[in-house]
Amino acid sequence: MISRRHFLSIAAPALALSGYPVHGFTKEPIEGRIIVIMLQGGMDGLLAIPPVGDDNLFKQRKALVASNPLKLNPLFGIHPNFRNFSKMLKSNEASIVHATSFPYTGRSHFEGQNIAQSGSKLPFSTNTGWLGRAMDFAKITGKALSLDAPLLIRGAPEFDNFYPANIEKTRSPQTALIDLIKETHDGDVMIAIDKLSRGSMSRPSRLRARDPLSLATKAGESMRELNGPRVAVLTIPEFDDHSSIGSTTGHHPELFTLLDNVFYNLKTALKEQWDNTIVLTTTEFGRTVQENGSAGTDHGYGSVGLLAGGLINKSSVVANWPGLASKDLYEKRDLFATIDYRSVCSACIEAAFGLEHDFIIEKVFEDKKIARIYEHIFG
Amino acid sequence: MTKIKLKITLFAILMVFGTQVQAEENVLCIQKFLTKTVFNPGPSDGAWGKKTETAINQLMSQANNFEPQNIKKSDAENICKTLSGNQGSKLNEIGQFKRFPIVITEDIGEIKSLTDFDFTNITLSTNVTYKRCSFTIIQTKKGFTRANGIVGIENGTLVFKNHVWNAGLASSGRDHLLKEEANLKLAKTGVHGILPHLSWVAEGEVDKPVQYITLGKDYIKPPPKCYSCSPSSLEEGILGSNNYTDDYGNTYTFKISSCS
Repeated sequence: MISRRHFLSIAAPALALSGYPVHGFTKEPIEGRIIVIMLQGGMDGLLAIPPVGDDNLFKQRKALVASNPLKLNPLFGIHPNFRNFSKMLKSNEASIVHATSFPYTGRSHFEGQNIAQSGSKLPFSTNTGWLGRAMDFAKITGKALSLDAPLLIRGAPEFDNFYPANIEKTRSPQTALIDLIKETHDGDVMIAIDKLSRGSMSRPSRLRARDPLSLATKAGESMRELNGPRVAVLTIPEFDDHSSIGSTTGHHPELFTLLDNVFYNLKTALKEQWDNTIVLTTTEFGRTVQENGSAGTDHGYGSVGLLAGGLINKSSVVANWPGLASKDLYEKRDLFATIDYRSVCSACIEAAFGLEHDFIIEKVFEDKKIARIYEHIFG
Repeated sequence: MTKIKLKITLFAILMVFGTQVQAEENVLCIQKFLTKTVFNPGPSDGAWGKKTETAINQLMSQANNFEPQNIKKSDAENICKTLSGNQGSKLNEIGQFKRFPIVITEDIGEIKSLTDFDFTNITLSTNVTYKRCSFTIIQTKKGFTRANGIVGIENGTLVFKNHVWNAGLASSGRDHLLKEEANLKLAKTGVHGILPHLSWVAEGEVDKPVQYITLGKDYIKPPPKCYSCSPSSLEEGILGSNNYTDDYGNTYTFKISSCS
């Protein structure tokens, strides 16, 4: 079995683990685990979970629908690359929240990612993250592993950050720089940079990203220990497909396979602790409903959240479906987000840490208008 | 006598009318409740129509883990009492979002991770020993090397020495694959793929997490002891099929060469 010290010595910067428990006060002594998978770049929720029962899907995006989605119910299907996740859906270990987003419509990666981690309505308005604050209120002390501690878990008490000695396998600074450059452009220029950046990253380099599959297994192995961390954060970058996003196959579908296997590896590594775990994805925004001129999609609004773990009792797709007719779209281009994703985050905190919903929305999110969606996911 | 009959008639009319009014109030109570949820009952007019019936059945089904409901107009009084009682606030909360049940009829079957490589269905000879061989696991169609390095063969089983694992995903298509970043591909539209992760693993250790290779116990037949052989003859080091096709349709080939 992997020791915590050993874990800290080998795990990688795209992973942050925290939450070694101490005595706390919650409504019930729940020893749940939360794992957040940050899908950076903006995942295309309509490609992942296509609303195949909505005729406007095929009118709006002709080429961007997988040819063989697995049908979940009369309205929704799932991309065929989510084979493990589909199995979890079938065995009531997973659920989907669709047409959802953090409360942000500005379509900026930096602002969107900040809001997805801070849980605030305004970007850069706080220097702590919603998960870190929840850990604080649940009296879970923090031990985190990250090159750059993600904002998401900042705010946890006794938070500790580990800087790995082996920088060779960290995320390429070059990638981060390109992201910055892309951020300052839009339209064709941004698409051109997107293509060029992929070319530039193809040059041999010893700076590598640790793959999320390995990190998922490492996280699961560590978290299954009795006094192991109760929170982990993983990152899957590169969802920002302005060009050649793919449909049945392609870049986004490959990332779906990767995400699908991250779920699988987490479940496999967590073993019996899977029953006390909730894994949820976050993404800064969805993507445009229609494809652009480069067979990709641009920054949008509503997307989808995928959840899995033994804390779920009954699988379902939760959605107040807004429709895909042009009149139903946000600013006539984006899937409308009808569910504040902070409701989902609150429900996960409630399920895993035992904090009351009213307490969470007031103290963690400082927004009393966030609706309770616990029953829909965990009921 | 006539007066008595008239009174009875009036009483009966009032009773019927009163009951009807009460019934309409119960329906209205349900409709007003539903208008505060995402289940649309149509106009709040006190009339029990198809929309009202569908909406209240959907709400109550959702509240009961998708158990089918058969609520009719005659149930309106009881339903109104429920909605107005202790359970009202919880039902209102449940009614704020729609849940769609999962009905997967397709057999998804057993699925293996991308880190699983199953070569169990290969029969090979035993009782051979080599200290050092080169091995490669290639994703056949795409030419993507998933792993390579040195492996020993001890009594027909493999002992991995220094080896390198390529985690990540290979791209599809026939585009040119880059040698050192084999899960990136060059295409007309740019370079695709995710950043790979190379994991160097020392002798006596395995990659963490394990890139699971499942081998039969009689897996290896030694290749000819030949340093000048062509690659094709070296590939004969494994008898029979040495391919494995994963759940995503990727085929992998396990090759051993240059044993000494």
